[in-house]
Amino acid sequence: MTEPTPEPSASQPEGAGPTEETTRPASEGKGQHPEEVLSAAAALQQEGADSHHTPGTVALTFIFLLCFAVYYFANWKALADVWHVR
Amino acid sequence: MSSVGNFLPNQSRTCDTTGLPVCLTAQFFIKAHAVCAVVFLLVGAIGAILLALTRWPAVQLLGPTWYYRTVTLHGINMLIFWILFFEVAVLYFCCTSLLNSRLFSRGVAWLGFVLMVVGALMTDVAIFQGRSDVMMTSYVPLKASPWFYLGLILVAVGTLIGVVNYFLTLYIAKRDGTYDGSLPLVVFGATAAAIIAVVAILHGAVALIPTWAWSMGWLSEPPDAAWYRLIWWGLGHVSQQVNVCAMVSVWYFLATLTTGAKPLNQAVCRTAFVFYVLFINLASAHHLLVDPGVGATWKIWNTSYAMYLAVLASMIHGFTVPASVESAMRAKGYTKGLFGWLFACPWKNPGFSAFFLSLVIFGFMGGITGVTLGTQQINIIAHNTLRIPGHFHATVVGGTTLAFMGLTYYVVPLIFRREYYARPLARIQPYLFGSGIAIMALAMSFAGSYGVPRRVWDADAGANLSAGANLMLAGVGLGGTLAFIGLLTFILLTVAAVFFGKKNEGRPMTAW
Repeated sequence: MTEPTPEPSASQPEGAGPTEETTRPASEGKGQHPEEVLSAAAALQQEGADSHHTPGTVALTFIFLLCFAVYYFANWKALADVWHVR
Repeated sequence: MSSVGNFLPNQSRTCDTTGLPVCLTAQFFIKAHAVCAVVFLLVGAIGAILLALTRWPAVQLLGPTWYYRTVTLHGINMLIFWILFFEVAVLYFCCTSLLNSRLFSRGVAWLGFVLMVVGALMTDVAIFQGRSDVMMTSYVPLKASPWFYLGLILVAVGTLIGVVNYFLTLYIAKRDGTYDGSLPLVVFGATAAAIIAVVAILHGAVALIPTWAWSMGWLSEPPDAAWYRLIWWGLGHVSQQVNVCAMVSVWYFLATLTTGAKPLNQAVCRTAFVFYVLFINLASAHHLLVDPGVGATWKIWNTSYAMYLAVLASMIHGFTVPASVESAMRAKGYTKGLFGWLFACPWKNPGFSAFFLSLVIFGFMGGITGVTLGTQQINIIAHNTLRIPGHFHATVVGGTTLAFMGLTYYVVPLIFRREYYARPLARIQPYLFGSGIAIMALAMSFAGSYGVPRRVWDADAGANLSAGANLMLAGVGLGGTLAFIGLLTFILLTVAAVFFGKKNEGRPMTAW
């Protein structure tokens, strides 16, 4: 089964990152079980935490939308430049 | 997985790393399909570097005859053979290991595999014989050797047989109660890919069988050109959506393997896969946006309404996959700032880096250009320019191929039970390949914006191209060369691991 992922301790300040002992990915250690590889099927049948805090992905989404808007309207501008409507 | 599997005696093993059951019959066919996939990838890749160095005006490596022959070879091997062989391997893995089930039939699997191999060899030989320079689309009235069409038909039938074997395995797994609850998300996605594959293969049969009959001389006239294009894209585009579905399934799988991510919301993710099944076929209409045979209403309905629902599915996955990674990383304590979790991800793990680069290249480059080029009005300034290959190299190569490479870094240690050599090289391989493809796709897109046509041997015959266009075509050559080096590295590492790698039987794989 998937090894339980350690939660940051209550005393750990927000953003301080994990402590070496508790949260260093096992995959960094040669010859160990890659921690999350265990029982992949079971993990994929589960859902993540009840509440999701994913501000980074939301920020990436807005960067994506900005790129899309710029590219899309640049193309309409290019079209307008070569296809004059009188 | 508490349910009991339905394996025959001595026909299964338990993976020493994942704890997943492995059906030995399925394992054999996963290996067989994966090996063939990599062989055809190599053939297509050799074609790719020859083409990239031909489109670079300062080099122009090939003459016109071999240019068009190589376009045909490259397209067929990369977009059909490499992808289909690997996808059947993915299907066999999903329906057995993830469902705790045996493969439905060894005989059926053999039949499908042999047909695929014979068909693929037949088509490639027909191309090399020089009687099938019709490019991948093989638009009539261009006529290829009958062996070319027959080979493709055999590959399609072989794939269909593999897909039927997959569905029958789903049936016996359900019947025997080998798993609890509903299908795992990855299997659900693979099933969506299999359904779309059936649609694609049926379109291929309708388009290619009469064309084959015509090439044999049994029909005096070729199929109607407009009809052929309409039906052929039901194969050509829809088969690429099989890739997308399989790629997204691989994203979810690699996200779990490499970071412990769990899908954020099963219902939303599954709904997105259903959107693919329902709307992706209609989206193939964007290939016909300048065809006079179909009306504007038909074009706009299919590409500016139905297609957006398929795009919505990709945007859902494009959000939920990185969000699940972020959620998992934050749960481990990587909470610093907006992107602290992202920097802390296992970027040295080629499984992770290939998956995440695939997601970024597919979404940012392939997705944005795809939606834009699929708009009818904008398509008129982009159709048949190099912008189109710029788009689909970002989706199929930067997206699907890179994701499949990432999966291979787990398939070899877990299924072949061999370890990779030169692991530092393996760690940088996804970056080499991904950056090469990104440079090449961008350069193609900008060259197309300068008016450079696609599938033309000597676009600058009259020295009409601007300096900017020539610069971009040089970028195509350089990016293509970098990607080729990355791809060759992948093939060499994988072949070395499969045939000479240190065995890891009886112990977990060495962690990346």
